[in-house]
Amino acid sequence: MIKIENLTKEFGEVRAIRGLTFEVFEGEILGFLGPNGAGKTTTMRILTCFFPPTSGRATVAGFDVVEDPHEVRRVIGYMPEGVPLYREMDVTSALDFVAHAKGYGKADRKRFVDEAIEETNLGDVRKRMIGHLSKGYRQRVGLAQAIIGDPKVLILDEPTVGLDPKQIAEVRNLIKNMAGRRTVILSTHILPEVQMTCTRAVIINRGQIAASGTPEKLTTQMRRGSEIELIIAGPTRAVEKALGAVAGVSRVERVVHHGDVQDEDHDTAKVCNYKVHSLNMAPELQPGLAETVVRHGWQLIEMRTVGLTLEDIFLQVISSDGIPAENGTAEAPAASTSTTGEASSNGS
Amino acid sequence: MGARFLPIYRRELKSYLTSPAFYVAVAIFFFLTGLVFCGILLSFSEMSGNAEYRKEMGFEEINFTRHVVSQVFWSTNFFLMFVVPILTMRLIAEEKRTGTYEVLTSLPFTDWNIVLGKFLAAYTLVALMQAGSAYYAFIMIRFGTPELPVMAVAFVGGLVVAAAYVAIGLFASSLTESQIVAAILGFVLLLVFYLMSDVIPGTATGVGKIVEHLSLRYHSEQFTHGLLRLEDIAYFLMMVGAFLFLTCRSLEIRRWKI
Repeated sequence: MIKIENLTKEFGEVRAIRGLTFEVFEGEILGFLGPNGAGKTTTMRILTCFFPPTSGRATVAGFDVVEDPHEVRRVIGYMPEGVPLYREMDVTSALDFVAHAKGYGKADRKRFVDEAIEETNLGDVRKRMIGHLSKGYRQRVGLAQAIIGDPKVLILDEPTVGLDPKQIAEVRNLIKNMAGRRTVILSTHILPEVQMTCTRAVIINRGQIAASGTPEKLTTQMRRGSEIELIIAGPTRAVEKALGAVAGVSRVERVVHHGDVQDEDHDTAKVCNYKVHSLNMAPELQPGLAETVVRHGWQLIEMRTVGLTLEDIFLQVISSDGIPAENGTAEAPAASTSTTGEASSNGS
Repeated sequence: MGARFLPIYRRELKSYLTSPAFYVAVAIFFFLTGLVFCGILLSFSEMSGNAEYRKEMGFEEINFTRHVVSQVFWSTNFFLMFVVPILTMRLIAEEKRTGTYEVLTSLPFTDWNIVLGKFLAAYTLVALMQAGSAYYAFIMIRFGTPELPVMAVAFVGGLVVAAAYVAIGLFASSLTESQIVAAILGFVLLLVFYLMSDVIPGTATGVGKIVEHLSLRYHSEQFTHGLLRLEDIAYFLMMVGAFLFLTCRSLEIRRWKI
């Protein structure tokens, strides 16, 4: 539905996006993820024909944004960042304006306005002035404007920013319910949002794709470089050594708690937290660890996998310099030990 | 394609009716023109009182059309220079400031649709204001002895002049995100084009003559004197076209930078 090939946009010296390539398929809800300034808005502005790319191609529903901007504008609904609205208008006339702009006659306009009001649950405020509405309502008006005339493609730039948790949940549900019916591309820097609403995610950083896939795939892909946290009662140095000897373990780290007396000479038994890093996370790793502890007669108090959240992946991906993004399609690089450590300490 | 500007035209008119700037502009316009109308009538009645004396002294003969009708329409055109920028300042600047401009460009409009819709909306209101000021004309007809053709030419001329003012104001609004800056810029542009001829000595030739002929004042005064010339109409239409074109270009700037 949306095809972006080798897209580059330069503002003078600044390269906002460089060689971006990805595709959004019909009915998909794509989360477009990245830190501020990664090029999300720039990409969306190109898709909505606000400005053309410096090079590369972008097509929406088969229409090129440079050659057929008029056709593109007919099939998209767009909600820009910050939800700019005509504050001096009432909800119904603002929606009617958008329907009119999309070229519908009077009867169609009324129907589309009613449908959009119903879908976004704006019935209570349909005659109220937009400037007088609360932020949550205004956000919904923005969404209603975008879905007027039932466009095939929705482009939403940070649709939940600045809302309270209840309103965020409402907007997310609204978007989630569009899966299959509409093709949605939504930008965000909030990761749970992607996990909750999107069917696929593309992470970009500094104008390039850093990782992409379903939220689940992204998480499991990164699992490889994950870690296991154990709480064991036993002589600390002996435990560390024994754990390190288990097959598949790459590094053991003892978590030194604040206030602990570091008494390296007397290897006394005490309760301590350990972090076990593994690069391949083999299924036999956890039983192996448990068996080792039991064999030595220590007490295993707790063992859990510290799964990487999208947050960790995100940090990992954007903090690693020089991502090998050949043609912008490179998948996330296998995490090196150091970046794993960094990401996990941020995550835990 | 034809009426693609209509949604914008309608929306702008609706917005104007809820915007304080519109009512301020209307109030300023009628206050100033009313004040000056009154002043012109008073000075004319004073002149009439001195009619005998003026004749003896060999001053020009007093003439209602010359001393009242022309003056009234001249001052109306003059005050529009202050009022039009107040009306046009928000047209594009405000959309750029609030970001609604981005919504607008994602809708199936061309830049030309946007410019035309906004121009016509503002012009409609200015023309309505001018039509409202026609009551001065009725007062003049009722109590004075104007030459009707001169009055008609001055009135229609005023409408043509206002179109150029609106186009210039719209262009100013497209250059900035601030309404105040847009208003000041529009006013300065109008003033420059208006006073251009005043720095040229009457005997000038060549470039001086061209500058004189590019001035708003030179052409608009032909109308208030009751002269209906094709070249003046052509001049104002050209100004409208030129500034609407410039506005389109100014909107296009987004295509090569932010």
